[in-house]
Amino acid sequence: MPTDRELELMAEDAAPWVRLALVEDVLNLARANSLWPLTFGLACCAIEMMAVGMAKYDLDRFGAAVFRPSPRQADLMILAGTISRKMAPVIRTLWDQMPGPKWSIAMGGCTISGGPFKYPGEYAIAEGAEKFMRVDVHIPGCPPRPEALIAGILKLEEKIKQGRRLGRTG
Amino acid sequence: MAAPAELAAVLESRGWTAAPATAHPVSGVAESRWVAPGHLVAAAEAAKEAGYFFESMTCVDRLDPHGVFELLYTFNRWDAPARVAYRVWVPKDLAVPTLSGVYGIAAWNEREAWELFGVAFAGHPNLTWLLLPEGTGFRPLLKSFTQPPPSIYDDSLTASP
Repeated sequence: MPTDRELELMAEDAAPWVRLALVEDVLNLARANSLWPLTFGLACCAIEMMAVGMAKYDLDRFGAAVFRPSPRQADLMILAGTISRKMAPVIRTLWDQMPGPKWSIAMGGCTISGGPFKYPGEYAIAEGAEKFMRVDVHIPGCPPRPEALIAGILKLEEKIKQGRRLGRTG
Repeated sequence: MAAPAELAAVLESRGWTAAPATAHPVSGVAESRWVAPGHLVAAAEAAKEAGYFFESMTCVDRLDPHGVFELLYTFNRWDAPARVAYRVWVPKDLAVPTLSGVYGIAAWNEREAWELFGVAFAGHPNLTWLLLPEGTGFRPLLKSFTQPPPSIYDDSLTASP
């Protein structure tokens, strides 16, 4: 398999003759509708995340409920809960271990800004996931309702479908 | 016989007469006693003999003019009102004997008090960080603590894909 960078260079070379945008659109459609989240709950938001996976809210309808126990198999990290300073390096390691293309959702106030734990002199809680990794979609709430998480995943699916890497030079 | 009286009898049988109990009728603690750090292990053994379990241990940073830590050990039995408390004042530079040999569960509370206050526990099997990252150099619950140094995960590490 060529690497992403090699694919990009090949696409640049082929751009005058080949249109890869359609291929990329099809790939993105597949990616968006088969998100595999990492089984990874940090605090109380994780309870809502589990509810989303259960029968009532049924995340399988959107193809995103195949929670994987290994970062090597996952392409979506749902940050569900308070991030302590002790946990931050662990999360960063898991994120780095996930193969690209990958996306992340910050679920709840804690992962967005530190939430209720943000105050001057905070010594134990990391004030938001974006201090140490990329976040694609933010879902406010404390915790967000299951419907809000579904809305966030649908928003992420839209974002994935719009993304074009190979076709953008053509 | 009420539970605190049983504890008093055990203490009495061990020649423990110097620490009279203070009754607290409304606070949820039936009795409290002042215990010297050197007598703490013996007092905990007496509580165990009287059928008490270790309920909790917490710490208070007593400022000047005392400059000491106050450790508050609570023990309980299910036949209420049975909760008793041992209060220990210890200078900040002295070690407290660990209770983990008597009540194994005490090791966790002691670890927390060491981490957040810097109380030294002599003989503790695993005195290391529990809630804060390993190697944290500050004691956040000391009253002299004002501002933590920034974590590398808060400031310097820039977000990247």
